[in-house]
Amino acid sequence: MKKMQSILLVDDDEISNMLTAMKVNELAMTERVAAVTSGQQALDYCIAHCLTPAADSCPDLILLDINMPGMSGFEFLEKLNQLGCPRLPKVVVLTTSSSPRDVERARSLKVTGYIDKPLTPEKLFPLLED
Amino acid sequence: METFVDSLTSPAFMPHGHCYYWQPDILWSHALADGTIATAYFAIPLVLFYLFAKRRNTHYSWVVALFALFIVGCGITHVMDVVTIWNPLYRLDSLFRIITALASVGTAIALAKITPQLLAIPTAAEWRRHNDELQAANEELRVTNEELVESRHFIHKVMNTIPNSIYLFDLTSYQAIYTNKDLLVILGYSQSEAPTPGPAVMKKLVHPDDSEKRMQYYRDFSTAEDGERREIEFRLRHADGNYRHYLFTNAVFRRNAAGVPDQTIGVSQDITALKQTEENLRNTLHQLREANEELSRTEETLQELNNELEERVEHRTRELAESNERYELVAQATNDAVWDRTYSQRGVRWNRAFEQLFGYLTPEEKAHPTVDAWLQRVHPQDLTAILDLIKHSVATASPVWQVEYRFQRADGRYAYVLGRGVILYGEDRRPRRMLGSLTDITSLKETQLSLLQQNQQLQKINSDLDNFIYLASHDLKQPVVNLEGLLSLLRGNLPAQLAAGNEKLFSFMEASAGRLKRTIYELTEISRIQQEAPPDAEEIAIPPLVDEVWADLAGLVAQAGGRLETDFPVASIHYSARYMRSILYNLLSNALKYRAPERAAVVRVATRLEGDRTRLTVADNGLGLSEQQQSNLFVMFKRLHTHGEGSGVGLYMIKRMVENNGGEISVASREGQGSTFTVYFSNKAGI
Repeated sequence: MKKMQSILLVDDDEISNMLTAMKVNELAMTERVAAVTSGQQALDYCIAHCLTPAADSCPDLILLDINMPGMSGFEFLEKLNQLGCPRLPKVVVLTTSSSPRDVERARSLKVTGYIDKPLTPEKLFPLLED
Repeated sequence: METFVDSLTSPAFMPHGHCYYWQPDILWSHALADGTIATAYFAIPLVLFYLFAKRRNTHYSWVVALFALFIVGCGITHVMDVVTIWNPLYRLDSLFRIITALASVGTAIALAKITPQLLAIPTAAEWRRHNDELQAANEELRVTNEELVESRHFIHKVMNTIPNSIYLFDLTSYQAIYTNKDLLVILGYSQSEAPTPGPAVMKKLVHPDDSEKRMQYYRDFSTAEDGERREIEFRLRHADGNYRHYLFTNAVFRRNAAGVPDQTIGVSQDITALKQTEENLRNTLHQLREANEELSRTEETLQELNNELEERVEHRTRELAESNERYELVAQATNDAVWDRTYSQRGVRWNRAFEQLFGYLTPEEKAHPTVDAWLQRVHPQDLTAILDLIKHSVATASPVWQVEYRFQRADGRYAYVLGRGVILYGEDRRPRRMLGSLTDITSLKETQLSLLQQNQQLQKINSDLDNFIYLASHDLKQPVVNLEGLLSLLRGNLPAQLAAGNEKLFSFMEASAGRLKRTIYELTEISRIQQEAPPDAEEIAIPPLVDEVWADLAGLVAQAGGRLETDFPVASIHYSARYMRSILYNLLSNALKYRAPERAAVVRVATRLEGDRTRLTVADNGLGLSEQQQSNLFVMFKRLHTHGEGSGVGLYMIKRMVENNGGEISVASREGQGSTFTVYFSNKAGI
């Protein structure tokens, strides 16, 4: 798999974020991993990094949790789609929720994939193949 | 010698003038008169010859010649009279006179002889009359001729115009010798395709079945009277190949010397359309006759029905009378308030229960009960609905109405009542009578309302519970996932020696975390089955799926020394693949988990078709279940055996899956011998 410029982890559970970051590093998927703990922070991050014409620092992939206090993963997705980024990052939902309602809603928001925690290459990599 | 001729001219005599003494007056008067007579006598034959030449009549030419000779002779005698005055040629004179005398006598005799003929010659008047007669006859002839031509033209036109063929038929040669229209043309044959005319042609044209009949018809003409008309119908083949019906009418036209008819005159007429009409008429007549019979039958049936109806009316009248009595009795006996309103009468009747139930009727209302007494007590919010309902019932001729409403008691509080009405309609479909009842359902209504509230609460609790399970499972999952991750991290980060020394502790921790995770997973699954719509059904091949699940359970199979026996007369099923897999997984893993330790596990999986359902059985030779255990088998988190790794959710979960999709699951078991799980899948359901 092609190495990515950067990956953004979005999860209110910091331990989860840490474990995911360690896994991403272990898999050597990218040089730069950023982690935020709410939907709002993730949106701010994208505004800061994805709206410039060059948008080099815009993450290639966002691993997004759904159930977060404040702005949920879904709300973040809706706002991200409205931002009008020149290049939209791929979004893979990484969650402990296997509710059909959540799966359906994520699909309607056109995410790249929906996987159950914990992150494993077996679950993630097939989604990233073009 | 003196010749005869000389003697004739010899002047031996004295001239005749001497007789006149040469007196000029007498002499010249004789001379001139005789000369004139002679001239006239010479002229007459000339005229006669002229006339004869113009009107040549061969019959009487000799008479004319004699007459001319006689006149000329007379003329010559007169000339001789003149000559002899001066020249005494008396002998010549005598000769001429003799000749003249002979001619005169001959002429006289001839005239006498032909007088009868001459008398027979018509006079001019007669000729004119004859002529006139002839002219008249001639005119008559001309007129007759014109009439004849006209008549002939008329006949010709008639012959050409009439559509029928008129013909003369020769009974000797058996063929038509005259016809105004060629039969072949009438039958639509063109010049090229027409059979050669003659007796043979009729053989080709006449329908084979009619041929003998036709011959006999003509043969029979030998006995026909004059003026007698005989008819025959037979079929002739039209150029289009179809046979057409013709009517032929013949009469004797001519007889031979022996007086036997040898020619007939006939007329042919195409009666195909007539025949068709006749046929149609016959069919119509037949249909009419059938319809008539049907009508008679219907009439009989109607009569029977009518009799039956009369009986029923009588019966119903009796019933009604009894029913009215019953009504009175029921109205008195019932606890319901009952009212009765007859439209043609004023007012309304109430039974005693009305007063008992609602506490009052004013003396005025008791004396003159009206519908208003009822309407005034209906809750204002419910009144419109009731009136609308009754109006609608009447408009649609509906016999019954029913409505719940609030009705005021004497103390001012409202009671909940169930109002029912029965409307009886007259023959004009107008309401005739309405019977109604009021049942006090206040306590029922209150119970119902409280039940409804409880139900809503329960639904809310249920929904909250679902939400709780969903959220709890999610929120529980997260730390467990973290825990697993951290344990794995910790194990990797610890110095090898330390890790090895605590291996047992690690494995306990990991097992606990795993168990916790599985329980949470199963909880989530149950919650998911409750929430989600049934997954899409598809055609599943059962044998490979069973093999696949058996392979997934390889670890357990090895531990149990398990053997799989299958029997699949029904090899496929229309069902959710995920659910089917889950059902098989749970049943097969249970069969292996709860095996009898003393014997190798044998698991029999079989399918059958039963009515419109597919039956799946999974039988084992394991521990088996007591009756009490069997009754608790499908309850959530109920583990029946102390050993094994069950969470107690699996059977509950598959029961939900099966039942949510119209199926059922049951167990039959004997302790120590084994258990048989039977699942029925509804083939009718959408899944």
